[in-house]
Amino acid sequence: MSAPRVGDRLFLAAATGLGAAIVAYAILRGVERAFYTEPHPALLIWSDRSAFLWRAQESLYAGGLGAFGGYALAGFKTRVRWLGALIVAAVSALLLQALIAP
Amino acid sequence: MSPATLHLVARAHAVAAWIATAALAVAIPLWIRARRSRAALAISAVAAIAVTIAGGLGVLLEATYRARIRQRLFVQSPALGWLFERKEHLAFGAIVLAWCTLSTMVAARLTRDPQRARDLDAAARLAAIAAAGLALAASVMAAIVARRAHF
Repeated sequence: MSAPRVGDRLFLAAATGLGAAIVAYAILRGVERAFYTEPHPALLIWSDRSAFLWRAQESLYAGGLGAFGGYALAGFKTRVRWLGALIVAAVSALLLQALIAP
Repeated sequence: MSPATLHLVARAHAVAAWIATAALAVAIPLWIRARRSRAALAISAVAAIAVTIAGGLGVLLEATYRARIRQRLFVQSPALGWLFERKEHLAFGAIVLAWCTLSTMVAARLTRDPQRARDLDAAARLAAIAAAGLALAASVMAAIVARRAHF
């Protein structure tokens, strides 16, 4: 197995970060619903900030941190099956969160 | 934003979302048949850009949705309100996965190791299928809600 090139590693890091962002999004929403009480949307006339946009922003930030891990992992001369596993985990976490903690 | 502009943005958001969903769906068979072809890469890039434009237009509508529609929707039908909340989560997932597909495809083209390229192909396929599925689900959910509540 040849040493991975920088370009290959960078794109792999980006893909890892994006996968990690979805996991972070699902966790953030799950924690919000489980530990913080929100007013029922039918009773809420207006809110000045969007929880959805805040969550998306925070999860992309977390994904950015995950990209550093992805870059490090991509440097090993091993197979990259973990990326497929990360994508499956991310989609499963998002679907589960959308079902039980919308 | 004036009501006319709002209508225009909402319509453009819906059209862009369906174009992105179609592009993501078209990319799957292309990617399975000709894994690292330029056509597969180009359609994936178009899909990622289209889904991001749709998301950007959705962000423009977010403040008005919160101010004018959200409460009314939940009062009319909590089930539809929660359906729209779910749609937002899935749409976020679709956008992120569309870019994840593109990154993985580019990484697969760049790598010199055939075994690594095979793993990246498999990951890109998974991401593409998931992005198309999430985008389709989000578009259908939005269409259901739009029949009852609109700008």
